Amino acid sequence: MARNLGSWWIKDGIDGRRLEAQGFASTLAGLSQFDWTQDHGDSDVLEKDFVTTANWVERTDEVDALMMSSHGSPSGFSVWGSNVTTGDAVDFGKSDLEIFATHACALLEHTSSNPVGRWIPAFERLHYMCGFHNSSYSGGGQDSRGTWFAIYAAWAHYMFLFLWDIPVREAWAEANEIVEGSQVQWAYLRATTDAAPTYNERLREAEPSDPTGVRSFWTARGTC
Amino acid sequence: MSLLLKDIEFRTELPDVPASMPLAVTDAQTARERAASIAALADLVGARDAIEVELPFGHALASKAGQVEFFSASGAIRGRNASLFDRFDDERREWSDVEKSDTPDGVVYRLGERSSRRLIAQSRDTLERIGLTPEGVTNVDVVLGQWAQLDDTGEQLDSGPGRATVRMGYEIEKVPLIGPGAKTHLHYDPIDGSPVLARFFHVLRSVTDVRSIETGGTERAFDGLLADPFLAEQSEKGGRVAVTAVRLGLLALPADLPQRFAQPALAVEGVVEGLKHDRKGSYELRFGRYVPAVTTDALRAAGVAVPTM
Repeated sequence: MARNLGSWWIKDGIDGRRLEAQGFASTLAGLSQFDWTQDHGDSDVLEKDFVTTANWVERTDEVDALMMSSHGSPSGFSVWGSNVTTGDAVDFGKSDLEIFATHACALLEHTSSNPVGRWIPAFERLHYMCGFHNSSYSGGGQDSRGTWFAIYAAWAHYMFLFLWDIPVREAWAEANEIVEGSQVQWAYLRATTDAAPTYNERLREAEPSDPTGVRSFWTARGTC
Repeated sequence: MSLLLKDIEFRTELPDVPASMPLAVTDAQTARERAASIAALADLVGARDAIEVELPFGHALASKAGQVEFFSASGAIRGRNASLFDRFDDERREWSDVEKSDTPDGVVYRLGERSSRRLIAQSRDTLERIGLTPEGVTNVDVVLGQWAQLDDTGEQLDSGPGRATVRMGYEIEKVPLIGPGAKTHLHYDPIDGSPVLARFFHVLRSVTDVRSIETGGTERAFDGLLADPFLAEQSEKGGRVAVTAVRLGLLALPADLPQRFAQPALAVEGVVEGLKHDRKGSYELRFGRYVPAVTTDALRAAGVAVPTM
C-alpha cells in the first residue's frame, strides 16, 4: 500500500514557502509508492491539525510524512492565526505520522538552558522531527528544499534501480546543504527503541515499525 | 505597509555598506569541464563500476557504494560514500582529539587544533587530487556535528561529537560570497582511527567579470528588509522586530539555480517578539532573510537586471 504524504505551508509574502512544502510531496507523488493526500495552505493551516482537539481528526496524522513551511522559534511554530507550542497537546503519530519536517527557524534548538527534550511529549509514535538548530533562511532560492529532501529520501532510490539508498537523517542534511549557507545548522530529533531502531531509517513503501515502549531520543545537528 | 528603520531594534553592529561594491558576473562550469573531477571523486568515494544516469538537475555517476552528482545549473558536484551509511548504529563518532568547551549555548565539541590542521591539509590534498583548487578561498575551518541522547522524560543522558566537516568559503575582491552557492564541504567519519571522506560538496560558479555597482549606503541596503510583508504584518499585530545578525556580501544562489551574477546583499537574522495569543500568552518568531543591497536601477546601470531577488 502506498504511503501518504502531506504539505502544509504559509507563504507570508514568499511563494517559495509553498513550493518548499509542496515540492516534497509532489516529487514523490509521481511514484507508485507514494500518494500526496493532504495539501493545505495559508488559512487552511489549522491549529487543530497539529494539536489534539475534541471531535476532530488531525489531518497531519492521516499521512506518513509531511513537510511544513512556516515561521518558528524554539518553543513553537506558526499556524494560520495562531502558534503551536510545546505547551500544547501535540501528539504526532497517534495514527500514522512518522516524519515531520519543517522549515521553521530554531524549532530544534538544543542548548543547556533550552534542551530539545521540550518536544518529546509531541512524539506519540513519531519517528523523526526534522528542522533547524538556528535560523533558516528565505529569499535566496530556498524553494527547492522539500524537493531535495524527497529526491534523496526516496525518489532517487525508486527511480534508479535502488542505487541511491539514503537514510532520512542524511537526506535532510544533504537537502539543506544545497539550499542554505554554512552558518545554518540542520537538526533532527528522533525516537528509537531496540526493537525499532531509527538511526538508519529510510523513507520507503513499507511501513516501518514504530518506536514504542521504553524509548530513547537522539538529537543531532550539523553545518548546512 | 513597510517598516521604517526606527521600527527595528538592532542588537548587532551593522556592516558598513560602501557606496560602491563589486558585482560578479558568473557562469556555470560545464559537465565537460568537470568530467575529470567527477571521475576522480567517484574513485575517492568508492563509486567504482558506477553507471551514468540522467537526473532532473544534471547527471550522476552512481553505484550502490557511492554516487557523484553534477548540477548543471551551477557546475557544482556532490559525492557520497554510501557504504558508510550503515556503518554506525547511532550518531556517536570516536575522534581521538576532541575538546569539550562550555559555551553560553551549552557544551560544544571541537576537534583539537592539531587534528584540525591535519584534516584541513588532508582536504587540500583531496581537492588537488580531484582537480578543484579555486581561488578566493577564505574562512577555512573544521566543525564537528553535535549529538545528545535523552531519555523519555527529556533528561539528557549523554552528548558528544559527530561527523567532522572541513568548510571553505569564498570571496571576491575581499567581499565574501554569502548564501548557499559558494562553499566547499568535506565531511569525514572516523574509521579505525582515521578520517574517511563520507560526503563532499563543492559549489562555486566561475567569475567571468567583476563590475562596480552603486549601493546607496547602509540605510538604503535595508530597504528590502523594511518592505518584507511578514515583518510588516507582525509589526502591525504588535510584534517588535529585532535584528540579531547581519552579514554583507555577494549572494551566491543554490547549486540548482542558474545565476548570471552575484549582487551585493544582506543576510539578516532576527526575531519578532511580543506577539500575543489570546489563550497562550506571548510568543516570538525568528527569521532569516536574504535581501538585496542594491536597487534594480543600480543593477541596470551595472549592465545586468533582474525583476526581483
